[in-house]
Amino acid sequence: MQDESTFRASLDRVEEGLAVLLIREDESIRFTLPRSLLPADAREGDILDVTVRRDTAATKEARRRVAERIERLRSRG
Amino acid sequence: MVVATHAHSDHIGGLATVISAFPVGRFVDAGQAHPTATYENLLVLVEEKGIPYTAAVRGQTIALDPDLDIRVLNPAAQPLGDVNEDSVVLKATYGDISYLLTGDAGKPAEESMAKAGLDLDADVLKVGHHASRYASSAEFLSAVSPAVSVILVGEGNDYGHPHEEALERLEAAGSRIYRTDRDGNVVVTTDGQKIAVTAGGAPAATVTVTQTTSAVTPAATTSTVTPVVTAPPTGVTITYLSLLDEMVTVTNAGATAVNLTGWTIADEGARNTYTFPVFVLDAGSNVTVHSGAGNETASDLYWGRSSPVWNNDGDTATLADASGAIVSVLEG
Repeated sequence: MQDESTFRASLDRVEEGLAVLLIREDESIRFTLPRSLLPADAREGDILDVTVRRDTAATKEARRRVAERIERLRSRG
Repeated sequence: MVVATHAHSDHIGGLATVISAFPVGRFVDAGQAHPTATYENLLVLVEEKGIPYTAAVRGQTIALDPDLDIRVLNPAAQPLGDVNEDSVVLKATYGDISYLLTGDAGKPAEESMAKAGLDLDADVLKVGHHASRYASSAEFLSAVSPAVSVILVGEGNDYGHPHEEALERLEAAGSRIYRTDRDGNVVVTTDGQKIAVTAGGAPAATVTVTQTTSAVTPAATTSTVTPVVTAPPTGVTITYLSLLDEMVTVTNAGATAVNLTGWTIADEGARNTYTFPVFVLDAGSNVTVHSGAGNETASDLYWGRSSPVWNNDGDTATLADASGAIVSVLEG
């Protein structure tokens, strides 16, 4: 599927409310997320299965809304 | 000897490179099963390289050098169940000077060490957990009373380290504070009586340690601090090589004990190389390295090979120190 990717990450540690995640495939790549976005039971050492999905419908709808507003502003002058 | 205080990637992320680049006589670990690939791959390397492994536990001493007293203060036999709180904490004493190395130990570990009645007093403190507010409690600092505190911390890190509260407690303890984010590399050397600190390439500051209070007197600066380089030890040679019996004997004919940790014995063409574990050869003593397996003693070490190392048609044993400099060669 072109609209979805999946990878694994190690939850190395939590510092000051930030979860420090290491991309399992190459743990030299690190990123952080607010701990509050992880499942409540997630704990240090967990291997997380991460899926990123494009929300095409929400994107389309937001784009339409913004374009509409631009139009409105433009016609208002 | 390499110590992995705990398995978090900001502490062990570079260790695989380190143990690949330098001969390591012993790997001391917190021994908590952290499931990251970083930690697992490091342990794979330790195993593949045959580096002797110690899971640190409170009460152990580490015999690195006869003049150096190294004690394990943490983790306790019953771990606290948190990677940071089960950090390896070491107290290293040389002469009158002690260093306390804390990893990421925080308040629970500090309380556990205090409760166990351990002597925490030290002149140099590697501040716990990058000076997080959850470490370096006032009670702990009062027991340690460090003259010099060193904070290892990344500039502009995501976590706000060092935390103001921790800095204030360190200042209140009367400690002189060095920070790697501002001072660059901080090197604290000692002759067993005085401490000399070099930071950020600046001239060394000599810190006088007073026994009764934790007051610090920054004295006149000395021009440079030369890293302690032990002269190539004399008196250690290979004295016996038996190709048939698969054993090689090293003798210290000198007047002082010699630390053989990380020294190597190689056969002709260095097809096989044995690396000494943490080992000190006393003056006037022998140690025999057997190719096979067995129980190690102060006079007998075992390579652990299942097939012969030495060529019975003739072979040469080469002894090199930990820097790779050849010390002794014997043909058998």
